[in-house]
Amino acid sequence: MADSTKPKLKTHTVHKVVKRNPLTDDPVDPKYQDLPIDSKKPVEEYSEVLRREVACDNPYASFAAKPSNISFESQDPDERILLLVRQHPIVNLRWIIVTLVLALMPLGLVFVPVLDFFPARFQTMSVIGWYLLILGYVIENFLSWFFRVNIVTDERIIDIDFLSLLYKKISAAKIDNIEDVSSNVAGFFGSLINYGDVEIQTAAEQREFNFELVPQPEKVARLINELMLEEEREKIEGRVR
Amino acid sequence: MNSDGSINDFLMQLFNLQSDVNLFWAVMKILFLVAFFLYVLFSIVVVRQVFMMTQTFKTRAEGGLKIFAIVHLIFAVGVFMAAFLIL
Repeated sequence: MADSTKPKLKTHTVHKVVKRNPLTDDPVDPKYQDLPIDSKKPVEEYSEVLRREVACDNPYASFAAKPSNISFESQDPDERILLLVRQHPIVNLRWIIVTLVLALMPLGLVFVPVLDFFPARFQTMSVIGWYLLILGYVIENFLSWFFRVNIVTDERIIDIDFLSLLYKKISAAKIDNIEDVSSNVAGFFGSLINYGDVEIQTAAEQREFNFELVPQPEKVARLINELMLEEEREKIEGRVR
Repeated sequence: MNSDGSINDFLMQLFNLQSDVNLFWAVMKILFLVAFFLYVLFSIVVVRQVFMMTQTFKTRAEGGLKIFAIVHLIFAVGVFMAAFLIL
């Protein structure tokens, strides 16, 4: 009886705001309703390639998965570098052999004294000049190899070309814009040591990206494919950045 | 030294020079200095590029590369100075 005399409390139905995909305006998957709209899954969750790779912190590695202590100029604060590749170290073999041959050439002066008509001081400076030229050749080749890198982040691919001391080109494309990825391994050494090219067609300003002579090209292509699929999933599930 | 003389003679005949036997070696010194100066310019470009590239692409190796580029430049300047003094 007493209960019936109590004033009835008004009840309000709380309508939860349904989060919507900003691109398609479809409701976001219930699983991701409580996550911020720009949340990202850990990469190991969707990438088989990176799940199997251990983090690499060697700055001279030519295939560095989940590299630490590496960043690039236009990197977003929440953009994570997943893979860094540069040409396989075997491509350096040619200039290393050339360097060794050139470095040994002054020893030939003992047997073939072509500089004998020079006074001693000119002979000394000629040999020093020769080794300076070799040093310059080594430096240019090493820097061209070291700074010519391809970076795959969870948002973009970046191609840093440093073809010579006077030529530098940096291009990037969003994973969204990638249309096709293919890899190829060619030649005796390529097949033996497993290095080759990864060709990436994009809808971005630069239509084609080419990761040249990189180690494990099919693994790189597979990772980019996994990232493309994840981008698609992000769009469908509404986890759009 | 005989060969020095014959080259000087050849040069003098070639350019119809009357005297100054040391002219050939003076020209050689200038050529050497120009070559070493060009190398100094090259090492300046190396330093500039290493600093620019390490800004574009930062790695743990950047400190070592910068030091190497600067030491290389100092070495190139040292060789140029040595050539200037020795030759």
